[in-house]
Amino acid sequence: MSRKPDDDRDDFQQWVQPLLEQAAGYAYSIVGNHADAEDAVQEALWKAYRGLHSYDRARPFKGWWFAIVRNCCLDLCQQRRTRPRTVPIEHAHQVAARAAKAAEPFREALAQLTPLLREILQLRYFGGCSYRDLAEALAIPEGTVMSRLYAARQALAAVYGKD
Amino acid sequence: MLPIEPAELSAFLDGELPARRAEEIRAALAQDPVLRQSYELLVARDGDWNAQAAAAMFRPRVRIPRAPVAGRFVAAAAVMLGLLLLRIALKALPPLYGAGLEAMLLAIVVGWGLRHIMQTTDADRRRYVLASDS
Repeated sequence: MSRKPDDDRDDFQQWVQPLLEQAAGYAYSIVGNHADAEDAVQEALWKAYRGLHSYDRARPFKGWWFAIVRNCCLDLCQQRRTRPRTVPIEHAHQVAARAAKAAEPFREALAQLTPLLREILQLRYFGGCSYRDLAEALAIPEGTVMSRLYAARQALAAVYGKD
Repeated sequence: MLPIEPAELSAFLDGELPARRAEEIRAALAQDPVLRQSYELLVARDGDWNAQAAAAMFRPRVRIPRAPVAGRFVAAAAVMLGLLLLRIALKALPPLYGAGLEAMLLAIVVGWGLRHIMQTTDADRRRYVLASDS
């Protein structure tokens, strides 16, 4: 028996709740501040909820969800380039900001990679995505995930080697 | 055994290789000190990067969407309107026949409406969650 969209809506919270912290960390790795990361995750939640009819249960939810988070982050970065934030609201996230300082060298090292290599490492390390999730999020075969992730790790190690 | 590709070592670290291939690599690591050194370097870097990335995780203050409430109220209003129309229609029937039928239909409609409203309330309670509260 096929499931109705309403069934997916009932399950949505259970699926997405355990992924919120990783999604926030992943969004932070792209947008670079907590306020924008939260905005991106919130936008992703609405988009995912509205687009549940397009989600195929045979595929990994996490990969589908992270693809939406990624798109929302990229949209937000685009908007911020044209309409930057005028009010500093980072003080609302002081605790998280202090913790995130430990991740800054990692973000800076990732920033030196090509977008193709950077995005797979961001999904792997900040998002905690498996190869299947990575394949879904990046729309590439799992074999490509293995080789690209290896190349990305080598490139990142080279960046650290330069320092 | 096929030669071990560097990318496979990386996938082995991630626990993403088929069991048989993983077993072959485990055996090779036990025998080959050079391969083991490469693997240990991968493990150390991976642990370091994971720890740094974990520091960036935080609980976002977001709201998980739910089914629109307005739609539920519209449904309840439609039930009430249906009830009213039913009563008007039954007034046209002979008094004795109409009274029994009206009582039966009223009971069915009211029962269905109450059940619908109760279910809606429970479902909404499950759906409405502020992520930061949980």
